[in-house]
Amino acid sequence: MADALVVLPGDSVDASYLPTAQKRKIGLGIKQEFQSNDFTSTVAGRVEVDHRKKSAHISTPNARYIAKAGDSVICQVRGASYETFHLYINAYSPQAILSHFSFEGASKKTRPQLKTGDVVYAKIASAQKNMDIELTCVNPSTGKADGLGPLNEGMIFDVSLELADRMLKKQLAPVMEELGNKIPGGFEIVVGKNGKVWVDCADAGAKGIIAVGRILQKLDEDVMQEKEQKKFVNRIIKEMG
Amino acid sequence: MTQVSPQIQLHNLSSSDGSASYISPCSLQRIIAGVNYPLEVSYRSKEVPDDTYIEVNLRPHNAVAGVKEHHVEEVVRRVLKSMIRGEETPRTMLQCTLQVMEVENDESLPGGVKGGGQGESYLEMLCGGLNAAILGCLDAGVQMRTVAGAVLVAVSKSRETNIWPSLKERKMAKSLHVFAYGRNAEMLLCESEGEFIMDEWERAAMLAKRAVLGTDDAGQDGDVEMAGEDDGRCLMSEIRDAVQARVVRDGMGGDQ
Repeated sequence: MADALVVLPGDSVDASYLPTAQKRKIGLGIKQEFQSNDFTSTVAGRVEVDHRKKSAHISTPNARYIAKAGDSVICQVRGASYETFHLYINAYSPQAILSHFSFEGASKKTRPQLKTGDVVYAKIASAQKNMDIELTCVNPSTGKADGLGPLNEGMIFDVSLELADRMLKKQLAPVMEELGNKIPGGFEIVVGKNGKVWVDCADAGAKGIIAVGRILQKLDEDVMQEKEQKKFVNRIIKEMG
Repeated sequence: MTQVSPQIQLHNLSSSDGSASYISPCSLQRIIAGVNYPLEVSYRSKEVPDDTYIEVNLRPHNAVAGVKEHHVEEVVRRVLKSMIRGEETPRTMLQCTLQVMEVENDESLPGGVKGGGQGESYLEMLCGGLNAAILGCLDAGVQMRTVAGAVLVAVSKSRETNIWPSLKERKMAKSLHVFAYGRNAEMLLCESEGEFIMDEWERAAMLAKRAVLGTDDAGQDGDVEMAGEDDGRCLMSEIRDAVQARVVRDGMGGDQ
């Protein structure tokens, strides 16, 4: 595992550390000095380099989710109008709209029936200043849902954006796998970039859901190595009975 | 004189974008900063077309902000403005709220004098407030040109320069100075109060520089050396450690 390089604003980031391809993407927090090959960081955080995508940026732990096109979020239906549902992403974002037709196989005759309070996993189609956020539950090129859509049953947990990000990058896959093997019948999990996690256990029921929730909470609060994480999973499972 | 280094903790408020608590050494002053960024500008007239509008609010430990606090707010705002890359997020606002949580209480003085009163120097509040504000900005992921640290220096009647003076030392001092240095040893702020001569000022500035950056010639390449024998750790390496602790959450960091 690569050593994490943590920088402060003004630190020079060595050019040899960054991808060298012509079409590289140097993102947030790394600035090239005027007429030189040197790079300087502008924010405090960890330098993340992805050689496969030829991209580099500095990741800072965010506290507030700002809606961005392309993110998958978990949101709640707050109302419906003639052609759209109105959804809530978080307290800071403007309301999001989701057309009745942006679901897999939706047509004028077969519309999804969503009530106020229902939870939906959706992708942000567009997010611009002073405008409603547009959501979609369907991949426009294939017309397939790709896992998006209403989330029935289950429970939502609030986690930090950092943890949600780590889960989306599959950094916590080993713990989740371990947990899945231990809970009878396994569990389903959906991670929204807005710091919401939906969990459902078809077989273990509420007990299983709460076990997952407790582990999420613990992962968020404490700094743990993989071994400790697995140990904690075992403890929770034992307590679950 | 024993030297203690300041205590820094990042992100101790859950609902602001960035926050930090700063406990200054010796004087037991504790300040919490909450930074929200980027925000919509509250009044349209404050919107700057090509820059970020910075708002600083300072609350003392026992009252509402008065003239002194408003002055400190303005000074902190100006220093932040020189450090932050406001052009990256034009037409937005950076809101920095500073709350003094505790001030030093010296029982040995007649009546048990507390620091931070209205009639007293604003410099200690400025020093702590500026450090807390900068740390809050770091935690909030604000784009900045540099990182800076501020230090309070007192010059006593016997012309001795004391860094991080206690309440008693501050009361007895002939002059008080606050210096803020950026990482490339550039002076971003110097505020002085009292009577002093150029030589004293220069010595105080030198001492402050060493407290912020470690060695006198700490350069651009980041890694700041440990300070001299009895100086404890320098402010810059404390800041770096705090950020490190905040960013690297578990062994699973880095690219996979």
